Amino acid sequence: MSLTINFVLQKSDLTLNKLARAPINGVKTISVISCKAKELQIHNKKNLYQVLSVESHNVSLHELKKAYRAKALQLHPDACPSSKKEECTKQFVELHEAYEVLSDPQSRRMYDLSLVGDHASGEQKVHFARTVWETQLDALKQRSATRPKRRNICFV
Amino acid sequence: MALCGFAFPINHRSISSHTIQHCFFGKDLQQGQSCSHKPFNQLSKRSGVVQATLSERGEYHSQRPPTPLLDTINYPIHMKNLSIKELKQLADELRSDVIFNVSKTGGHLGSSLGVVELTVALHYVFNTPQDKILWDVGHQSYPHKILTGRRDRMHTIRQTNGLAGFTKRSESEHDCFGTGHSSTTISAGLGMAVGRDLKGGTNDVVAIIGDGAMTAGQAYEAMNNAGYLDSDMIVILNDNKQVSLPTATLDGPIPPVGALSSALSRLQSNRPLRELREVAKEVTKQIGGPMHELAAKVDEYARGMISGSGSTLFEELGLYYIGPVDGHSIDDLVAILKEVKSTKTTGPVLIHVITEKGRGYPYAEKAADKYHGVAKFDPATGKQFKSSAPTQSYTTYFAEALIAEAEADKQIVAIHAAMGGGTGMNLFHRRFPSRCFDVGIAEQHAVTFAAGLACEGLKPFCAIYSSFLQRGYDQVVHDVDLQKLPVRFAMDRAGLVGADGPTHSGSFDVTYMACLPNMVVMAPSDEAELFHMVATAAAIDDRPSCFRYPRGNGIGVPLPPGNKGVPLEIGKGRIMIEGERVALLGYGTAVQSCLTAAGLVKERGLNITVADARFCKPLDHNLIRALAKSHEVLITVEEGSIGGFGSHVAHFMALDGLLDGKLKWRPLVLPDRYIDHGAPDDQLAEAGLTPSHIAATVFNVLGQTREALEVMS
Repeated sequence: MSLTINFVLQKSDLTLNKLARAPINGVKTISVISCKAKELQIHNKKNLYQVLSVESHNVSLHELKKAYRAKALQLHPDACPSSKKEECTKQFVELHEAYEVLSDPQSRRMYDLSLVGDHASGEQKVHFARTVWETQLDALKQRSATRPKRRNICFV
Repeated sequence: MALCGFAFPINHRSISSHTIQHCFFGKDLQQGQSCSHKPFNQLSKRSGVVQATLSERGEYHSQRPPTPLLDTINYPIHMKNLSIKELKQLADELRSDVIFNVSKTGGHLGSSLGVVELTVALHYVFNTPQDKILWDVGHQSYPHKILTGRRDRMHTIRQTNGLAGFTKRSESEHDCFGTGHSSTTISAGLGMAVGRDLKGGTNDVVAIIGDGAMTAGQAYEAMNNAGYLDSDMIVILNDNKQVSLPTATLDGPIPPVGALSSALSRLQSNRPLRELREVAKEVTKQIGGPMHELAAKVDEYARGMISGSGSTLFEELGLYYIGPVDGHSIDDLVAILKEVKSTKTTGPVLIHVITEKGRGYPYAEKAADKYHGVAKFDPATGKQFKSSAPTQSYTTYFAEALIAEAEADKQIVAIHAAMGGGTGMNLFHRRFPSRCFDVGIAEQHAVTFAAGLACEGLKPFCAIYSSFLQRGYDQVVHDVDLQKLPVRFAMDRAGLVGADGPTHSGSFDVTYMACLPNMVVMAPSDEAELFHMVATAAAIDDRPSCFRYPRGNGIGVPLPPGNKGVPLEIGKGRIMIEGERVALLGYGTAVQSCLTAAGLVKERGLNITVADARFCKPLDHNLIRALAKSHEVLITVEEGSIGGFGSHVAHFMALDGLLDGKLKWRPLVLPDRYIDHGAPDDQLAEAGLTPSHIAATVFNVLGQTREALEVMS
């Protein structure tokens, strides 16, 4: 992928500006930091905004929804030709995840921050997505509801 | 002060001389408080204003830190009306209390810090003692003890007559199972769950187990059975990537030993694949009511297809996997635990919780050993107050002896079970990294693994604590001794061990080793003897051998040059002091007590003989015959249970006809009860094996009861 990084100035970029304010030789060196972070992002993981095929980070929730629905119609396993089913499912999952993160304003904000490398804590942060265990808990409840009733073996 | 049953309006409360202003607590609390507009870090400059969360401020007190909320909690029932925010504050206060307490007494710090949030969440959601919470190993139970009515006694932990350092049933009804060795909680928890089902109860059973303890086979035996029985229970896998103690060499951290750890790491990052499975479930759920059966089948089928995610390991065993969950987020923990508690007929559920050992105390977080076990320390600097002793520990001497032997002999290898620090094998690892094997908490495997190495002509030294070797006893008998394979067992922590208590004391190793037909059993009386016995063990190549040494430091005898011992003649003891009438035949470091006792007896005009048996098997027959024929009384002394050295001596003497004459034989062994934790001197006194006790026994047997009483006071 080429390095045509989205240089649209967002709020998150502006927060970074505060940190790297001291000009060296009169030239502000902000871009170095944001460059690196975005580069990393591309190499490791697809940009969620690109997964949803939206142009900029500033899209509204409504536009996000529209983009999601359009993509979903393309990528849904039922809508795919059977030869590409597995790949479609994978992409659909990615899409679903991207929409989950970006539709919730809180997690979207966190994600935007992470894009510009604001998490400079130095240690590996493992993201425990709430959705993961919430889904597991739902499945557990479902499973328990349909399980055969416990055999009541009592001491006689 | 126990104020239970109602919520506290925190902004109005003042406890004793502290006025607490929780400015970070929520908008409603900031009204009317002058600090609300000041930045956080300026508050500390104001006099008389004390804050609750020390971990954020980074200050550690040598005086007891203020813990306003924790002060109101005596039992878990007092926590039931707290909000999540208050629970977080409670966790912070609990953490600072743990740091303060351990700094004053020493003990296990890192593990306790890692489970503070988990403990708070568990006690908030569950109701002990009706609900059962089992802590594996128990060294992380300090926050649990604080919250369950023992906060006022925390300054006595690991001391004589004080709280135990592990969970103990006789100490509190909230400790439902005694632990100390690892990997027992799933088994015990399953037993409690099945017992509850048979009795028709409805309480919950929660077993917390660490990722290190998961490397032991018993955990799988238990999970296998739990999956089969399908009893409702919760297993919490506390994963902090620490398997061995410490999970580091002397030169820095190393990845945890074992393939399981990498599987668990993959679980944390393998989200897309699991997402796929969850989405597949979503899709099948949409199919609708009547098709649910089919949907469930599709789900099972889909699950089998998608491999690679480690959660299937637990699921194949029959446990429902939930996670990974941030073990330091009280929100997440409470939410999950509440959900699982409220769901009926779940079967066994495994919640994979990720924590960090030593969390919340920067010195612990940064240390390679994560401050697992510490002496008293200064909370502000993290520096431990280690008393400087003139000699080193037997553990260090053993490691140095083994290194010297391994330099000379390329075939020598060392095996230990996740105790690189405790057995001194980290020193050996630094010198010979390819010849040191850490197998995880798997003593059974360690022994048979050593047997396999011995088959190939190598010379394996198994460095396993005396009490932990009990785990691998059948392997010692069947895989090593029966086949007469030359495996050497170096049993550290023999005898009484002080603060760790009866779970860790090596009381039985002489008994269970000396009864094996092919085993050579020996014990050094001081550190120089230890060097020689390591050399002797290295030289014994046709049968298994073992030697035991205690916790503690050497006595200060000169060491052999170059740390290289000289092999002893097998089955030969030595006489330390020549005397008359009474002979003290000691085994192991008890010989030192015998020498001191001889001094006490000499003050009252009696010169007795002291001998060091060195070998329990084969016994020095000539020495025993000589002592029996030239003395009236023979007293055998050992720091072990009945059935050990003394019994072997008596057995031999009986068969040899030495007991048919006028000789009186008396044994001095550990009493027929468990000696509680405490200071080593106190334990020895409790066991009746101090030099005074030995001297008193001498006088009592001779009929000089007056002198016996004198020497005891």
